Amino acid sequence: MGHSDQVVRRRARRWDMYQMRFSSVFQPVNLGMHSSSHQQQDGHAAMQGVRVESPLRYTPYAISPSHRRVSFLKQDQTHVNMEREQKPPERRVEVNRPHGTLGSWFKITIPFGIKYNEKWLLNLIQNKCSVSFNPVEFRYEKMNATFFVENASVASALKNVSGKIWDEDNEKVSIFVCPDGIPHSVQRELKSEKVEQVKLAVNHQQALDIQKLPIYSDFMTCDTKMAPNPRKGVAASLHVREENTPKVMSSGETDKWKGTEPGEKCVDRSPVCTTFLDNSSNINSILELFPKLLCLDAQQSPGPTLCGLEAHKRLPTCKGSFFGSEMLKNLVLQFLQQYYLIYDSGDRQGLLCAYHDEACLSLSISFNPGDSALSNLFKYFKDNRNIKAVKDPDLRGQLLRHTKRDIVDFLGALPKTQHDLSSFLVDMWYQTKRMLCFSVNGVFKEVEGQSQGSVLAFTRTFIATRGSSSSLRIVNDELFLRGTSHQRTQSALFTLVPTPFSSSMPAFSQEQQKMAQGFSAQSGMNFQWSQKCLHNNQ
Amino acid sequence: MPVTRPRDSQWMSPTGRQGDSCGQRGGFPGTLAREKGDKPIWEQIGSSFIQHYYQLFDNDRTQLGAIYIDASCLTWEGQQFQGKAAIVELSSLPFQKIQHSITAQDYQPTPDSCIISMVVGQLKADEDPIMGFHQMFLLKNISDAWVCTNDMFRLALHNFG
Repeated sequence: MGHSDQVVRRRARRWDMYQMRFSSVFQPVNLGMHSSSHQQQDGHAAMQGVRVESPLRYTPYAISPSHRRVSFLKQDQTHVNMEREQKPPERRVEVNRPHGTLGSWFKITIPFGIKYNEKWLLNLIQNKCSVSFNPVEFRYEKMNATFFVENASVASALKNVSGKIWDEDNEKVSIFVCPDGIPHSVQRELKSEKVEQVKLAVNHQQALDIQKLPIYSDFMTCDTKMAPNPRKGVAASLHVREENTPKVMSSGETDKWKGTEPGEKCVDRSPVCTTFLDNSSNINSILELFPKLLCLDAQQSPGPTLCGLEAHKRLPTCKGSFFGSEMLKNLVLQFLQQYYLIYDSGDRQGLLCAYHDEACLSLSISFNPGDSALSNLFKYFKDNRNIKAVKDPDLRGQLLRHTKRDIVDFLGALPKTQHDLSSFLVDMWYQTKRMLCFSVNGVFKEVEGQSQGSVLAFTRTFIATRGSSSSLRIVNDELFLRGTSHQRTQSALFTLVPTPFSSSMPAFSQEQQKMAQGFSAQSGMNFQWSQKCLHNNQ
Repeated sequence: MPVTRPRDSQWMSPTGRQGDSCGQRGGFPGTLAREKGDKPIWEQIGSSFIQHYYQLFDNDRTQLGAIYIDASCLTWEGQQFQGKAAIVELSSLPFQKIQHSITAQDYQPTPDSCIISMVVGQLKADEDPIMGFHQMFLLKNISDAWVCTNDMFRLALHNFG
């Protein structure tokens, strides 16, 4: 790129537009952007009353100038003149095909692609890609860049490019391919009765290309209520008032649960909207993370010794994931989704863009000598920074990974994993304009090596700086690993294959109830919590 | 009065001889520089704090308020409690005795001169079965004393020890 005055002025204008586009994240607007088609409208609406941040602050970890994007707000007529750079012709391609035919569509996602100029990005990919591709409906969805291509071999060629291209900060660019995306323009052409045919075709295509393409987790909402074990102490004292029970978004299938016993409603799961052919044909909204919500029901009949105490000293209710606001929730959830998408992909070099240059990371393991899961943790021992195990200050100094390259190299050497995002419990515990701190609890499975199939539990705390583009860069990353306690939960099916056309999860079968009861008796957990653990590992 | 000196006297005054508070050595990366064999200041502080906190919790919960300030925020099983008073109220829990046993702890310095301490362990309240928990503290140096500005507590669901 040249450095003439004209170019510099153009860049400055683009940067301003870009800022305006995202200055809405600093305002308490309604950011329930679940469909990409509404996203731009919301952003535009939010812009009306928004004060643009000025002057521009120096943010060393913000987007580099060569990658600033033009505004892509189609409705934004006032900026039409400024878009002389022109949207590339591909963006206005109408799908010219005979009415009713389909082909096989794939949605291409570049995580954190929001940093990149569209033209630059597409050129970068095309230069490396062995086949030429025609990107359809390029758009930015939250932190990602996405577009569609219409051919399995093209999609496959694009997938091969992932991790083989670098941006100007020398960070790897990852490309993810999903077989279930269909561009809006194509959808509109199809009549409703064709939709069913499409579903079948996509499913079939997915089955054919399943080895080549990554599997996306199916993230489910969970409306879980559990009664505490009627015993004294911490567990028994936790209770929830009905009106405080968080309501979980569902796709309208809660009527299926009418007629169940109150006790049986302890674990019900309504899936997130999973049809890929509705208006929000947006893999990110579908994959949007809804961490399980955990509540404890009011104790029906407290033990006599507790009555007096409980009247005065009630423990607070136990709630699910905690976020400061809807906007921050979206930010964090999306970040986690992106992060673990790359983390589980097999090439963790793509995480470089998620870390600050001077980030720190450490890993600690906790276990009890009698743990049956101990052997699964052996491979992590050499990196364990748990001060209970490692006291030598020099060794501890070495085990604290510093700088993003060091960190990503270290992560890349860890076993390959598959995280169960539906098990994630997220706490956002500190936030300022510049910084965000949150912790994640959940489980993951190792998918290669000697302990393949073993399930481990983790707690991970992130401290991240917030760039002006609503991007997050991790500065502190502290990971704790431990085994999961019961063999039976480990061996239970750990299914992460997407089931886009499945109906809601069934209630527990008789056999599963028995399993949960047995688990409960052995572990001392109350029944409902046993069910939850069982469900977590299904 | 925020706690500055635990009983074991390993507490390092942030402006004491052995080192400055985290931020004064030239920013975040500077805190990681150290002499061979030295325990970094933030590790000492983190370690002392953890020890002190659980000692207080297990033996005299009423004193816990001292380590928080009014701006402190506790996230307890997903619910937020702001301020010293609210946190202290939470501390008056309906059990007679409680014991914590730490199985893992680790610390890191943060860019804004704080210390993040993470703990995983087990607790036993009265005669209840043992439960796993994990807790995270963000420590900050305010007026020459280290206090806890953020505290996050969760019971561990996947491992009951």
